[in-house]
Amino acid sequence: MKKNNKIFLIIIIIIIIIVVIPITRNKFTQVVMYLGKPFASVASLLASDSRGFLTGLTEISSLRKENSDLVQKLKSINISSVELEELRHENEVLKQQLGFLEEHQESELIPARIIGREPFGALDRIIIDKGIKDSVRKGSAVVANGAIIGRVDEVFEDQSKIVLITSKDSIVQVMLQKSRTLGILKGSLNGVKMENIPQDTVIEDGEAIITSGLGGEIESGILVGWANGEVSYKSEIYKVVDVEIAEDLNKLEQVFVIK
Amino acid sequence: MKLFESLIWIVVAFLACCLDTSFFAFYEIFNATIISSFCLILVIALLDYKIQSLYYGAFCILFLSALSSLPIYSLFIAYMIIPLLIFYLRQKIYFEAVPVVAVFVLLVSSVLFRLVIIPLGSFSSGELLISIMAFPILNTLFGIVIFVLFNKFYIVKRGHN
Repeated sequence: MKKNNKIFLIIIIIIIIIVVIPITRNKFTQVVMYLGKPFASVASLLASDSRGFLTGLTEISSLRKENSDLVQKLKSINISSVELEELRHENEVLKQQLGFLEEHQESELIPARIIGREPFGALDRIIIDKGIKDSVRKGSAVVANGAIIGRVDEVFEDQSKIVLITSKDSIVQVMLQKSRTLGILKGSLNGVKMENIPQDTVIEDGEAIITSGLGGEIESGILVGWANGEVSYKSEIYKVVDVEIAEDLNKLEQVFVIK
Repeated sequence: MKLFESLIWIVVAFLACCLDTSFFAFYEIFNATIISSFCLILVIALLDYKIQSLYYGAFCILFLSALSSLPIYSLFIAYMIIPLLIFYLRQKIYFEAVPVVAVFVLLVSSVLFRLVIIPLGSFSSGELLISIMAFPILNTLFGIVIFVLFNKFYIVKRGHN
């Protein structure tokens, strides 16, 4: 038993050395990710498939109720001026996005599949199946359905870790699309916030927030989300706005890295 | 044989960590997920703690430090301190590992772990509170499944040997 304890103590010391020193940790992460990739790919594929199957089952059971709800909705549907305004706004955003694509035709998108997620529910980081081999660079923006969802944090041979915009470690330079006011997008456990907005800025609820391109790593004009009400007090130096992000990060399966 | 058993635990740790990040992490319920590697070490601590299972905990820390962004101190608390505490209490109080005790231990341990991984200053959001409640419930349910399986196959098999 004493011999066993000694071996265990040695193992613990080795683990601490590996984990604490960044170089050894990076090398070790690379090895673990390389060894785990086949298993992770299969497991994530199974997870996506079975999730789809479970969702399907739920849909079947609620189909009758949904059907009657839809009939009711169809009867009472009335397109209000507010909805028209929303559509007009959405159209403007889409036009902006189209403009972005036309302006940045040199930008290439690298399609990638999510093979790993943060397992503690904090929805902080994801692992994708593309890495150095596929020209993924650290700091590149990652988008899904035209909206930014994060940036590349660590790159390995054929996998990368993405820090999501909801993470407390994420900072993205953004601006309000209408007023062109610059700010900083920060993630937190209480949701995503746009900070550092001057007090005299008028912010409309639902105003689109896009990347500003400051800092050079992430291109300008990529949709982030929409302003969802101020959360700061008038006595504060800067305004803080709650942001409703454009993509449901829970449902992501495929993403694109901007080359 | 002992070396072989240790290696088995290391492989189990690797597979459990991969499963946590690549399978269970896709099933988020109220911002909480099942951490199979954590549930497994709690069940081991309840039923059959010995040096080989300490290897399992140590390697879980190592693999999760590579696959997740969780602070190392919280991994040490989850995979070393909490199981050792259960083991210590088991020896001191001499409680029997029955399902009711298992539920209690799993629930308390999961709450402890959840509180460790969330900064104390951020309890204002309702969603967060729901997630704090969902995490122990989800992991206790999964832990009980492992407890039953472990009891049925591993312990019984060892008993026959």
